[in-house]
Amino acid sequence: MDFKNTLEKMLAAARIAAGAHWNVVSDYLEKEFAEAKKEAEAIALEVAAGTKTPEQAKIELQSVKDSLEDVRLALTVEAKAAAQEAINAALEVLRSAVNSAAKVAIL
Amino acid sequence: MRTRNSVWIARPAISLLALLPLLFASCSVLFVSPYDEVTDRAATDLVTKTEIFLVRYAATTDETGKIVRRGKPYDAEASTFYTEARGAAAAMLLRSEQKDKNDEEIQILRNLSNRYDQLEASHRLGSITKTSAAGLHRTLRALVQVQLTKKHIGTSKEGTSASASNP
Repeated sequence: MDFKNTLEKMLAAARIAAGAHWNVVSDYLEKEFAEAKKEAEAIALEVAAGTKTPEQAKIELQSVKDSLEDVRLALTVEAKAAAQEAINAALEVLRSAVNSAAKVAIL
Repeated sequence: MRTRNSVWIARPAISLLALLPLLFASCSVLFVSPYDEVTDRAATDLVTKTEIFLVRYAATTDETGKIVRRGKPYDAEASTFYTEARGAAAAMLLRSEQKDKNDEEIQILRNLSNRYDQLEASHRLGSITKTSAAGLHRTLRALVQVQLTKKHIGTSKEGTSASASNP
C-alpha cells in the first residue's frame, strides 16, 4: 500500500469536498451583509419620509441586527458540513486504498 | 496442546478481522443532523404564507421612502396570521428538537418566533413596509439555507456511495 500517495489522495478528496461549501459561505455572507446595509438605509429613509415612526424603526432595526445571528448559525452548519464531508471523503479514499492493498473488499 | 494454544491465539485475531469492516463502516463522521424533508417542506410553506401576507399587508415605498401603495393596518386577520406563523415555527421546533446535532436549526427556529413578534409589534404601531420584514426574511433565509446544506450533504453522500459501489 502506497501510504504517501494515499495521504495525498485523502487530502485532495477533503479539499474538493470542503471547497464547494466555502463558495456557499462566501456568497451567502457577502449577500447578507450587503442586504443588511440596504435595509438599514431604507428604514432610515422611511422614518425621514414619515412612512413609519421612530418606535417602529427601532423595533425593525433590532430585528435586522438580531437576524444576523441566524446568518452566523446557518454558516456554522455550513462549516460543520464542510468538515463532515472533507473527513468522510478522506475516509472513503483510505477505505479504497485498504481494499486495493488487500486485493479483496474487506472494508 | 500446541495446536490448541494457537487456536486460542488465533481466535481474537480472527474476531478482530471480522469486526474490522463493521468498525470502518461506522467510521464516517456526522457533525450535522441528516436532512429532513418534512422540516424542509414546512419551512417552504411558512415562507409562502408569509410572502402572501406581506403582499396583502405591507405598503410599497419608492426610493425616497414615501408610500406609493398603501398597505393594510393591523387587524384581526393579521393577528391570526402572526399566531399561526408562530404555531408553525413551534411545530417545526418540536420536530427539530428530537434530532441530535441540530443545535443551530433549533436556535434559528426559536429566533424565528421572535422575528414574527417583532414584525407584529411594528405592525401594531403603524403600517408596515417590505423593510419591516427584513429581519424576518433573513431568519427565514437562514432556515432555508440550513435545509439546502443538509440536502446537499445527503445528495453528495448518495453520489459517493453510488460511485463507490459502481466504479
